[in-house]
Amino acid sequence: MPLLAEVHAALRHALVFGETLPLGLLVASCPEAETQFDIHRNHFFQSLTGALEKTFPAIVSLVDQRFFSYCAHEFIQEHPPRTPCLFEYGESFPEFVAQFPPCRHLPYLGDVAQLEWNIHAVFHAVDGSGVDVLNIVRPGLPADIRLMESSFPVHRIWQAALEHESSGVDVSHSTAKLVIYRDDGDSTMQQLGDCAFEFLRAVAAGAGPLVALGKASHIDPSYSLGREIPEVVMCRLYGTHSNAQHGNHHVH
Amino acid sequence: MSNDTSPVVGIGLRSKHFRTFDALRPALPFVEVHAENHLAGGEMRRFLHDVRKDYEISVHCVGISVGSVTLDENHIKRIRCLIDEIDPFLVSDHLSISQLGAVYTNDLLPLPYTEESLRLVCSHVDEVQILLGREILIENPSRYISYAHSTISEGEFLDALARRTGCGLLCDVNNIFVTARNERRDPIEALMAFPHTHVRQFHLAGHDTVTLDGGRVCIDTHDRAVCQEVWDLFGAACERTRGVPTLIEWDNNLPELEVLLDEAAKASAHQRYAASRSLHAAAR
Repeated sequence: MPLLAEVHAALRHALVFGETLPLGLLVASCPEAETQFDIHRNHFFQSLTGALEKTFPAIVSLVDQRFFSYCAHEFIQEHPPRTPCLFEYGESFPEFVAQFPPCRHLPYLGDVAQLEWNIHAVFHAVDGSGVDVLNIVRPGLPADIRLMESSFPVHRIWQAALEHESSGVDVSHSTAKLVIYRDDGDSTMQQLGDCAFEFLRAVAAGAGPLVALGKASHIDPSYSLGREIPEVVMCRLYGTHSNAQHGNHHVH
Repeated sequence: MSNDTSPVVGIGLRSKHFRTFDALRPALPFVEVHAENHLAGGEMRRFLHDVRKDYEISVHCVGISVGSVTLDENHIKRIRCLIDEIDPFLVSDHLSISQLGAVYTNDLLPLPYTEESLRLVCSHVDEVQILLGREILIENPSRYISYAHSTISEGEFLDALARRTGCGLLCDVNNIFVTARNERRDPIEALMAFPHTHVRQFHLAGHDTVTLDGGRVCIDTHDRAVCQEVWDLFGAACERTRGVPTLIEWDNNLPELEVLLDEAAKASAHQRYAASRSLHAAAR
């Protein structure tokens, strides 16, 4: 009689890596035991692929549904869930697609996926704390505010992909410096200028407002506290208001 | 929350229905949510607090994994935080394995029913009840596979579990049907073998039937209405166990909220009918 630990090991290898279950472990019937176990295999991959599709809809649009399913299958085998909460699954997917050999002709894909993960993580972030959904402490910025820099216009690629118009974006002529944050329960993002981004980057690294302002002023001595930073973000950081808010995209 | 004759039927509340539910505020005694969907912050948590103002809530978990070799204490503590915030009237999970070593399967794999499994699950249920500071209910799983070395029937396993740990049982009537059909057993016999005195809640859901290798297999899909055979089985279950909170579960291919409310009304009618039959029997 196999011990429970041995049964678990056999199930893990059969489920994740498609290995055959030990002969005689299951009651044979019609359909055969392996075919019955395929119901669990299919559910494992389909439900996780579905969760990734929900989190990364722009990637689905950019690579098409069939290729996404293939990519997701490879990802799930390499990075099966380490938490029981589906909303926490997929944090390493951006890095995976960035390195995935069949996607090398789309050099911006990893950054678009990272933007989607940031949108997702901000939406689900624990309220009022400095930790994100995986309980990683983020000094300086609350969990519902994230910064992202890319050498591609990822926010434009993302929006065009969701509108199925990705061919209209020139990926070689602009970059992105974004703040992604939660406003009225929904994830939102805004493109920032160099000074505002530098300010928030310093805050994220643990700097106080005066030190952060000093960093921003190195780029432009006339930069004033809060300029170009969304009001909601300034309120979350300091309980104060900035006077500029424009160009933001609500995403859910 | 019930006397013995009033129907007590709720629905599973999923994010797709949040807006409609908020607008309709249907007359229901309770709603049920999946704990793992609400352990984050933001809207998912806020909406739950909002619903709690007007409804009793049942918390159904899918990730405690009492059949695993080790428990994820951190996960159970996160559930405890949620429970402390919303004070649900029921908390439940499944008699299954969803954690295999460090890997979570997002599935409910059955475990072999042996003395070793029973000792392990009893110990885990004890530990979960201590960590949560309350009784939990354990649900019978849908099974597509059976282990050749199982030595105890599912009914005996659940009965022993409830007696040794003091936990309650969540009787999923659809799961009884699905498992019985897949094991080529009579669903009514399977229901009669279920240790009904420990039942604190019923679940009802839809399932699919497919052909695999030339054999028919029922799959617990939660993506359609409850079928007539499961309604009939539920009618029999109500006669054995009266006044138990009952839930309409629908997780995939979700229809409009009104369809779930219609299903809830059907379940209420079954409960009412069972209650009236028992009153008549008592009067004779």
